[in-house]
Amino acid sequence: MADHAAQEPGIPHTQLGHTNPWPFTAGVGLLLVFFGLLPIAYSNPGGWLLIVMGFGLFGIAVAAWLGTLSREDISEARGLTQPEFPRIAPWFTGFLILSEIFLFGGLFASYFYLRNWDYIQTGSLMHFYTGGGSAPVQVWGLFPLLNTFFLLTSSITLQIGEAYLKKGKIAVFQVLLGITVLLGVMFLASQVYEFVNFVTKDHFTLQSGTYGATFFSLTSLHGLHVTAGVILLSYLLGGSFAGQFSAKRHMAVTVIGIYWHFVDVIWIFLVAVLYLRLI
Amino acid sequence: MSETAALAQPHHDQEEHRGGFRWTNWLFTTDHKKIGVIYMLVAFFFFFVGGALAGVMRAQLAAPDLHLVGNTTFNGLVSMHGTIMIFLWVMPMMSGLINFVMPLQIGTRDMAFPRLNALSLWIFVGGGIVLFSTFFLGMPTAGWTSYAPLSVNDPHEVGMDVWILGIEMLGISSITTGLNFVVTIMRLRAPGMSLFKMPLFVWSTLVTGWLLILAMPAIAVALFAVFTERHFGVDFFNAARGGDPILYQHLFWFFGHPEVYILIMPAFGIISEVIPVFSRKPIFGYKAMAWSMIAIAFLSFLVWAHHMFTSGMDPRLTLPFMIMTMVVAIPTGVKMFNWLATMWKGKLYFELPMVFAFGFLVTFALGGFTGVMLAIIPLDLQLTETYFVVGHMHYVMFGGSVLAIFAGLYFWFPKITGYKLDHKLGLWHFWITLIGMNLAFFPMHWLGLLGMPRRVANYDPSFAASNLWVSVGGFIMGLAQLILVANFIITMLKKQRCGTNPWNSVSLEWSTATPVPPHNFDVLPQVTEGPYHYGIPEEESSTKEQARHG
Ligand SMILES: [Cu+2]
Repeated sequence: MADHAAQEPGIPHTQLGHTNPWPFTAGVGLLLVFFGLLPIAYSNPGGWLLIVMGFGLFGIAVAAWLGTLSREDISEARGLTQPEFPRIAPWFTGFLILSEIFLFGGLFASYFYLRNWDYIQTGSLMHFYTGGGSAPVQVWGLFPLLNTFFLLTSSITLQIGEAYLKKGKIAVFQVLLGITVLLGVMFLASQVYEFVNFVTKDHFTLQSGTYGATFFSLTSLHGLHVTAGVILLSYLLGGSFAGQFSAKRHMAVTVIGIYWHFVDVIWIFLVAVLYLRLI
Repeated sequence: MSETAALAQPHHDQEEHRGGFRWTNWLFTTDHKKIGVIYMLVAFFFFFVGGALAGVMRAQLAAPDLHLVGNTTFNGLVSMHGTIMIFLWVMPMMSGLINFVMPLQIGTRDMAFPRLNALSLWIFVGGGIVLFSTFFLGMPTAGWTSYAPLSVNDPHEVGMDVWILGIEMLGISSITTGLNFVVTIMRLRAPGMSLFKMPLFVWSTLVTGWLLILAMPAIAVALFAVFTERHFGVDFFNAARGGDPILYQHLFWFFGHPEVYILIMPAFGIISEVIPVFSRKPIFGYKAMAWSMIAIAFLSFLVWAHHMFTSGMDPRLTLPFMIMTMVVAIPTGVKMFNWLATMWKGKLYFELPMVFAFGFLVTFALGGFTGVMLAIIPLDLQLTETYFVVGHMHYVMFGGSVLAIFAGLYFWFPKITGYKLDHKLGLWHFWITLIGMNLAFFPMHWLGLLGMPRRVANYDPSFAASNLWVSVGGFIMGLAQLILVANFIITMLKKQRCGTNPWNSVSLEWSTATPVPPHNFDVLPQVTEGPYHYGIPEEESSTKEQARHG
């Protein structure tokens, strides 16, 4: 009954704060963000103010939330007082990834659908890739190659780092985790640079036909996931300096690691489909 | 009760009685029971808002050539009525019942992620506020389906954008809720409760959770695409610029059909709880009931294009979609027959939940039949976009989901509040609702067969008589809901306690105190038997019953 260690009969419920102000606060923050998108859609920059405020509120709430989490995680060995991180966390991550697969799947399906639709209409396999221009856009190059290198390496450093953590070598873990974060940041920087190049040099933008629409939707959505990953990894890095992780306490590292590998796998699909056009 | 549990007792007592009611206890709560109650209260608010919208529509349609509201307003009413009833009434109401009941039924202290649960709630409420604001900013007019290009054509229609943002928020809330349901059920069941010892309501929650996790991303993508196409010149659906509006329909219905089961699956769970209790018999074919839910959920991802037979999609694909749709009738039929077989030779008690369950069986069966009819391509080509579809859909949604919600509400109200809703008033509520709904929805079938188009503010005078019936029925049905409200108020004022287990149910939620203490169980239960071990003689206990019929 290892599964039910947190639920053994007879163990009384000792303490569980039945109130916590942060979920509500985070909800208000998200409400501001979504309301902020409305003015932006109508070219009113005032929306950015709402979005910044909303994200700020959301960020503060989530940070405070995670703070209480790790404190309880240390103070309580078992029971539902630290619900977010024992065994249930990997399951959560697994199902979240399943949902994400369907999210990316929806955009990938749109990409293939629209490419096929273009082929039916024009009779040309390459026409889709012109994005409304005269010649097919050349998307593969130095930056996607670098990005692939950054992401694949970061997965490896994180994995090795986790192995060292499990052996109790915290310092090595911290160095490798730091390198992972750095690689993630470099990916993002390089992707921004790549996008700027697309827009200024190739005149390839979100508005470049159905190709531009699906290409930039997919890559940006992935970029957002990398951003979230970098934030989570930074949280781990901070936590490791606060002494939250040890050879026996590494669930958060494992879980966020799984997520990071998933983001990596999605990138490989993006390279194969969008950049190399293998399928 | 163990010594430790006794020691824990004073703690929560203090918590409960300190200072009485405090609004922060509700606003900041992470308790699944309070969260469930908030879901239900918000859902009821929107039930009446959505009902009022239907009232205006039926007033407009009571006779031909009325001009109560203009065409645009009517389109707005159609859109918001559908949106509210689906996303802000049935879904959160089910969510509320599940939140309150499911953790108790599996014998645990709370959801796997209580704080995430609270966040899901407030994102949902936020989405509700955003959608509600369309009444001030302008209602969207593209229907609850918001097909492109209809939803794309007018980039200055603020209501459309507000609608998109609201639905995206509700989508996020639904995904996190689904994750919470699934992980809670998979990881936090009381010791001894194997998957096939779970009550069927828990099974239905598990399946619903899966559907939420897998279906919601599709609409998130679809609406993201609409939003960017409206404002940033991005081409997904614009046929003039290489896009295809049919892509929107594919994305939407990949979400939309599973969504239908998100709405009905918890209803199956509720009915499966109610019927054994009031038949004093184990559920017939427990395993078949669980597997049929899994089968329905699986099939729901393979039938979406039955909504698109007239869209101009590839005609080679229509036949497989028709066949898959008809296959769904098999597991659904299994459920119907098992419910009937559960009652067969049972000792039936016609308490309110059972009465509503009866209503459910009849009306849902009718809605199911017309569903199979609509799946038949040649019939669908004639009937799509007519009132036949509206009739079918309301038999399933109201006759199915909403009657089941009422059954669940009357069933678990004593657990939630400690009081039983008044029986006589409940019967009035049932019969007037049932008469009103059949009066309202049945004529829609022949109106559709005669060719009356749906979603239009006016109609040919030859349809006048039937439409008057529909309107009258609709108003009767709406007024009947006031009886429910009156029943709430009277019951809450009378404060007649009904005991911990007024229905003599054997499932776990009734084994703990009422009102349920914050930590649910003083000592977590140990599960040894299946959830429906009703009835004598002994050898008819659930395990053997399952062995024979499973
Ligand atoms: Cu369908």
